[in-house]
Amino acid sequence: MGLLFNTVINSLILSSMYILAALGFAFLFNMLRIFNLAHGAIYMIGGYIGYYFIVELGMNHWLALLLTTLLVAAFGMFLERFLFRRLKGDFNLNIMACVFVAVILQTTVNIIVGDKTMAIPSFAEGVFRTALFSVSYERLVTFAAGLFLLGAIIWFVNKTRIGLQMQAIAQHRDGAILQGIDINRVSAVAFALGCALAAIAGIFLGAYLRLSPYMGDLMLTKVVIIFMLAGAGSITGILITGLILGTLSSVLPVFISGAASDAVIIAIVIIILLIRPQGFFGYQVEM
Amino acid sequence: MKRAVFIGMLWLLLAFLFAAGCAEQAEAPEGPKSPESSVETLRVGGIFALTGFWNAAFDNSIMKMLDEAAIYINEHGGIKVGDTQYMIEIVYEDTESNFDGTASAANRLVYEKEVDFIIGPAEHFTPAATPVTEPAGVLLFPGWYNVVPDEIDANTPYTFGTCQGSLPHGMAVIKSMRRDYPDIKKIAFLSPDDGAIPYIIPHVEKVLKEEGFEPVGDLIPFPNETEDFNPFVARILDLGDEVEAVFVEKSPGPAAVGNITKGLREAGKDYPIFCGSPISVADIATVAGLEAAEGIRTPIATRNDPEMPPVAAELARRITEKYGEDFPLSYQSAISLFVLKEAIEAAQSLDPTVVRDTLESMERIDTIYGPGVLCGEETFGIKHIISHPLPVQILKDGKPSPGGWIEIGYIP
Amino acid sequence: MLKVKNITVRYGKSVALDNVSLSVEENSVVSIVGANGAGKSTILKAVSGLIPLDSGEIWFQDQRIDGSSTVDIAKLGIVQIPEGRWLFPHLSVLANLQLGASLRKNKKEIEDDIQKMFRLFPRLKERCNQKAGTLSGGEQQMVAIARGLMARPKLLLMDEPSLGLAPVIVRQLGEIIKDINKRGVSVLLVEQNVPLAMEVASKGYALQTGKVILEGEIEKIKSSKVIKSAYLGG
Repeated sequence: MGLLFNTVINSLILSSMYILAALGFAFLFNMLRIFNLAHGAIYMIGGYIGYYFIVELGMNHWLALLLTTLLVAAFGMFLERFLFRRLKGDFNLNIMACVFVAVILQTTVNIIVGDKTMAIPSFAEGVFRTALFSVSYERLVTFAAGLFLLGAIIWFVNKTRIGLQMQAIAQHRDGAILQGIDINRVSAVAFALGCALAAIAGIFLGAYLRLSPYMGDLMLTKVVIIFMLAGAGSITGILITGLILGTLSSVLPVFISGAASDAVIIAIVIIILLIRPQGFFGYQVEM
Repeated sequence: MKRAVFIGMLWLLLAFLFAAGCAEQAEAPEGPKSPESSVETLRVGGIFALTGFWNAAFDNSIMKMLDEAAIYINEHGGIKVGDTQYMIEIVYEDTESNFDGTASAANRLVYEKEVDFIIGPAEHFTPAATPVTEPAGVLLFPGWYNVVPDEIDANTPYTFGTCQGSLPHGMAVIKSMRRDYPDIKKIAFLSPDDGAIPYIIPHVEKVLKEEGFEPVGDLIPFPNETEDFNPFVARILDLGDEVEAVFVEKSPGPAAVGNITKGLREAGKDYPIFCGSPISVADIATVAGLEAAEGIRTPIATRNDPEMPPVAAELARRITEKYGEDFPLSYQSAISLFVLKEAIEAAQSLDPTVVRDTLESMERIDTIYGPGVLCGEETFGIKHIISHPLPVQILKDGKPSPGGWIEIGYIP
Repeated sequence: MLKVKNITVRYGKSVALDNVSLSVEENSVVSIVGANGAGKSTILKAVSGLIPLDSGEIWFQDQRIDGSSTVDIAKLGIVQIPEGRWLFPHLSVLANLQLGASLRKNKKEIEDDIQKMFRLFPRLKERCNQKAGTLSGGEQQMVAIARGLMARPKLLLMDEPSLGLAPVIVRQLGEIIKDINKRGVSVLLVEQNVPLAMEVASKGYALQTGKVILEGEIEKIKSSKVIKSAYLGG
């Protein structure tokens, strides 16, 4: 019972964090056709900045979460304003710029903290015990926070003006311009939001798992898989495929030995993409 | 357009400034020169993960200790061959934390830098280096071994296990567990799925059996770069209440054993956990939490261990001075460098073949971890292993504490 | 209110518009007719700032607008309903209408206008939560027009609104355009459906291969031989 419950909670935590990170990635691609290979590095940076606030400065976890999110969001806006806007939507240049940002961030962190093992202290201490199962408060808190943030982001995208504008740009860029939507302003918001979501996932998983300069590579892989399975343009798709991947990643290794479980996940992805290259829910995207 | 170019340049400049600011070069001090002997430089190759996953996991601390060993040797007159003092200069090449990178690093060292002696790599990447070093007749002293083909075996006459690899490190913690917990029998047994399982695990199982431990269920393998260890915790819990202790044969960095520990403690399991990788228990505690990691043990040296041999203690003092109290003491490749010095001085030659023949002919060799013995012909197919004592560290009262030095002895 | 003076537009080497001038007066409906590829849509794109001019000027209410960005032109009150509608297919009808009001701030007024649109197009009220991409062609055209009106335009540029619509709907469309005009919005209409264009407009232009070949009061255009023989069946 405890095993089942914990596996379920674990898969929900991973899923919610994967989904948060993948949504950030999807915003940038759907709106701006930027295949943000720096997304993993930004996720990693979020974790480390959070660590700095919480451990080095002794800040409250939630305050640190807020500050980190704002800081990384500002960094995202900076990237949009001074890097990606200059590239004027050139897909190849964008890719190179992403790699450039990723390498700079990753190398910086590797040089500064590469040798030091770090993990953000748990968001909550202690274990919640019942007769049937026991689960740490950290898991419950992370799960609740993930759920809350997902709700908030879905509300934002569907109910706020700027959220709708983001979707409008993703669905018909010229149509959006004709409505007088300020693409630059909305792009800046999308960058801020995309980076902030990555950073939030970085902090939570930096506490739930640990920090490493390369944690971003692994996350990027997951995010790209979720995005491709969901299909470009689809937000609902990301919720569903994120849940699928999170569940597979936390359940498969229980049954399948060792590195084979990763291979099985990749195989499933490849098969799905062979059958449905546009993913489950996406639509063909004009590049 | 011009503006775009300008901004691009600015970015580049920023990047360069950053790189320049961050690159701290350890400057090799000039060794003492005596007037009657000539002083020359001996370049020794170093294949390590300067970037990528394994840099943070192990190699950074190993390289720092190797640098310290080179400085120490140079201060004490370098390597003496006849009247010449050879000052050691380590030339690093990057494995990029993968097999391809390791092979090309070996190529660069052998054919561009033309070194005759190479130290590293420190993980399971050695089989990518030996196909380059062996035909060139370059001596290779890996920083780790997993007892896999083309690593150290009959096909690698120029490769020596000058520091201990996974098998002896595993033996060290297993023996120390037996010493401290005479009654424990049933253990859960985990290992990273890095391709070495079919080769190394039978040897480890033999040692476990000899020491009276019995794995419950099958070996639980986990992928090397796993982030989320909860599924593996679930599998350990699934083994039932029979389990009395958990043995993680190797841990790719502190994260694996740390997260396993965290998960098990959360599930209310308080049995001892021990790991065969030389990882600081303080680092494991960082991942798992201090309380959860209490009692965990690994085969690594501890600061201020009264039993630590003098040269190792001196290197530890220097590392602590430079990098602080928390920096792991990773002696693997430093031990190799001292072995190289002993071997060259015994051979009185810089010809790698002569050095190899001399090393092969030695029965015993002193290491900075204590007396070493040349062995391994049965297990490895070649008598190229230098077995020496290994320290064990235990987290006691929230602090890394020395858990005694374990005699590994002659590995058949 | 809109004056297009001697504009020339080239796509690569081919000339899409050659020295074209036209004007739209306050509160009027002006039609541009002509065959496929005559350059009708190009005029609207040029006015909206979607394509650059090679030469010539465009003035709107005594302000020169050529060279301004599409968003800035939209801010002045020139709204285009493009051919193909350019709806946001995965958003609801309601969201599409809300997005039409992207340049407006007053939430109350926007809400009121949405209700107005629902009175104007009762079909849209029924489908208000349906995704725009799932509607029929006629319904989509209604969404496009309503979305355009949500910006409270002074001048509405309509590009082939009748394209792909059933004849019944086209007749409705004529009424809608007249209705819009009654509310004080000027309309510049590009149409291949000449009867429709003639029905709603007070002034007309005929274009052939990028040149204005005919202009003037709608009665004059209607009675011209070229138009009669080519479009009105005699």
